[in-house]
Amino acid sequence: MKKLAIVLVIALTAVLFLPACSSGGSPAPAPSEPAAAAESAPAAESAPQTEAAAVELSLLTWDPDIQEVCAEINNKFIAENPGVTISVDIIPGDQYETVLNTRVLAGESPDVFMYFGSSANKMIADNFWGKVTDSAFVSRLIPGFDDSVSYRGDVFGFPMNASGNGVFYNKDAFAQAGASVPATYAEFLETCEKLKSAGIDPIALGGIDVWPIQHFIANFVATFVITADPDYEMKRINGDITYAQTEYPAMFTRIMELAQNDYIARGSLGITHDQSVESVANGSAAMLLNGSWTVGQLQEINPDGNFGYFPLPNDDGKYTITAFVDKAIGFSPTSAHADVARKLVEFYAEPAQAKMYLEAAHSMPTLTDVTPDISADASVEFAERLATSQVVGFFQNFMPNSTYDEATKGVQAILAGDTNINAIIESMDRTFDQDKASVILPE
Amino acid sequence: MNRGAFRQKERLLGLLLILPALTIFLTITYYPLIFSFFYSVTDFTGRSLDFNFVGLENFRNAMNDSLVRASIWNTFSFALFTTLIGNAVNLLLALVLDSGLRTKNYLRTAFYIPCLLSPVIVSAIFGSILQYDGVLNTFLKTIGLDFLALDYFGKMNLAMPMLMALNIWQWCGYGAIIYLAGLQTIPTEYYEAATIDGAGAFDKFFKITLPLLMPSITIVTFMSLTGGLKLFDLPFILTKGGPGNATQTIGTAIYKIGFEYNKMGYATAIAVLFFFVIAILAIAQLRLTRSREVEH
Repeated sequence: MKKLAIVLVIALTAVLFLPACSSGGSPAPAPSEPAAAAESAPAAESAPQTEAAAVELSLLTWDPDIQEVCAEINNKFIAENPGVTISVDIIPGDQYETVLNTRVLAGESPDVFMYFGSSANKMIADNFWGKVTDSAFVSRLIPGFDDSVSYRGDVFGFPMNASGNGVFYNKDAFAQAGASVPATYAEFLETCEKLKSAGIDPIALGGIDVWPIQHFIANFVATFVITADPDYEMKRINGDITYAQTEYPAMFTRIMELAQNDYIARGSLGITHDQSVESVANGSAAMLLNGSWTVGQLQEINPDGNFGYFPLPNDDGKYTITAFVDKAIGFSPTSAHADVARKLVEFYAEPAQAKMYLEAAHSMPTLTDVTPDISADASVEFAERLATSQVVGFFQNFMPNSTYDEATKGVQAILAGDTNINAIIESMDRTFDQDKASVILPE
Repeated sequence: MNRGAFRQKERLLGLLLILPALTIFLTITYYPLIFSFFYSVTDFTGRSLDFNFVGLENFRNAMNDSLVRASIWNTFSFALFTTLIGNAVNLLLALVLDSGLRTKNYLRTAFYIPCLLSPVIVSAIFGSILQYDGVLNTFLKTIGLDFLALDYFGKMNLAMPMLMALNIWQWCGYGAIIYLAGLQTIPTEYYEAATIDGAGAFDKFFKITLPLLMPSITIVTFMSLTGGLKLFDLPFILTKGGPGNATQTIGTAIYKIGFEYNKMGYATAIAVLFFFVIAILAIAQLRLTRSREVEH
């Protein structure tokens, strides 16, 4: 009864005030108890199933770019497990969490679903995923990547790929403008000026999609805020400092200077990520401050293009790279076929499938025994830098969603011509203090 | 069977016939509505079934929340301007349709067609036209008018007026049809008598047309005001409430707080507050405009 009320309240809120997002559902077992089915699921990685059993699994993700490779992997799984079918549902990224939450609370959780690896601990803390601690792949995870899918000593999912932030650029556009890869922030500004003088937009940003702004910010946070004080996040959590006392104000000022000098393409708040990628791919813009997945997107649009990578440097030429698990996959502990669902998760972690996925997604591995064949310059350059640099997690992990949103809206406001940096910082500090309890730290 | 018993049986049958629809209606509307009041005093996150009672804390927080304050300001500005400007545009179109134009049948259809489109479709179409690299700016740049190419949804002071203009454009035909119906009920004798008395067009409009149109004004103002206060789809699709909070409305703020910040209890409290605000405003508006209605 209580559950029905919750689902209906969410639905009513949506129907009455938010016409675009209604959902409903019937009462079903609560997901708050990590079901016995999950505990009793087989530990071994997928051995071919001999008995045919009619099992229909649902798999939820948000990325249409991986649809093809997922279909290939799923088909292999189906071939090895007669009687199993898998239906893949793709929900747009900006609605993914909302749809997933509502489905889980309504007792209609997908059997297997992907989640943003950088914040998977939130999902785990709410028991959305079943345990895979004793799965064979866990021992093959590169140390560090298991953290993003672990909680209180248990592992709950497979981190499918690692990605990172930085500057992905068009080498031909750089050559045309006589620009070179900058070693310091001053040189970065010089590079921007040269590109602008050559009639090329220095930085492309698809601001209408919001998430590219978050990855744009992540570059600045890593290089300016974290490089200056690697422990600032825990200090902020403990109340030792405020955002006003970190490099955030200076960071926003730098972003404002980029916008005011037209180094960020005009109209960025009105274009999509795909449009921004296209502009860099065809050379009308030169740089994307985004994630390593853009390499594949750039090459798809312009297979003959020359693209490279460099991390955003600070004034002293130092930098920090944000790296994170991009996608993680887990199974629902309330699934009627939790054992088969878990088997599918383990199947994705097998070397052959993991390699297929990484190559299709142009991503870095999270497993010790998987090395994808990477040929793209930008991906190779990214991998080289990643191996030799200070690497940190995504800055969102240590702040409430409301604070993260204030930072994002702050950059939007700057791009729209607002110059009140103090207001952005005050909003970040206020929302942080207000919602600090919602931060789920890795345990 | 006597007449009383028959009527009672008929009434019972009527009740039985509407029972399925009534049950569905009460279940999906009033049941969650009542529980909304319940959850508005909890810290329910929407991600877990565990929650605590927080008393009136959510309501207190709403008063001091800059996101809520910005969204209230934007929502009321939107509702006010779209109601005032929209009403004037609607009335103007209705007067055009009520004139002796040969093309009035065609115009009536043309004015009304946008109302048939879903706001989602309108948002998608105008998103393509008005985005910085969109159809309009590309056209302007092609004909050498680069200086007129604006970032319509990317400027703090331009984004909300653009949404207002879109809303007025989409719904002007709807209001115009209601006003046209009102205009056609005004007897022509009043105008003839006014003409004989020497009244000009201005006097006729303000002393005959407008007072006798008050019932139509009541309806159009009510729909425009409540529609404006509930605005969600246009900013959600076109601007996501941005840039910054420039187009954040109470609807988008409730969505953001509930579904993105995972503070469903708090979002429900804002929705409950807003429910009462809309109710009070709607009642006040109906009383004000109805008090000015005249019989003829």
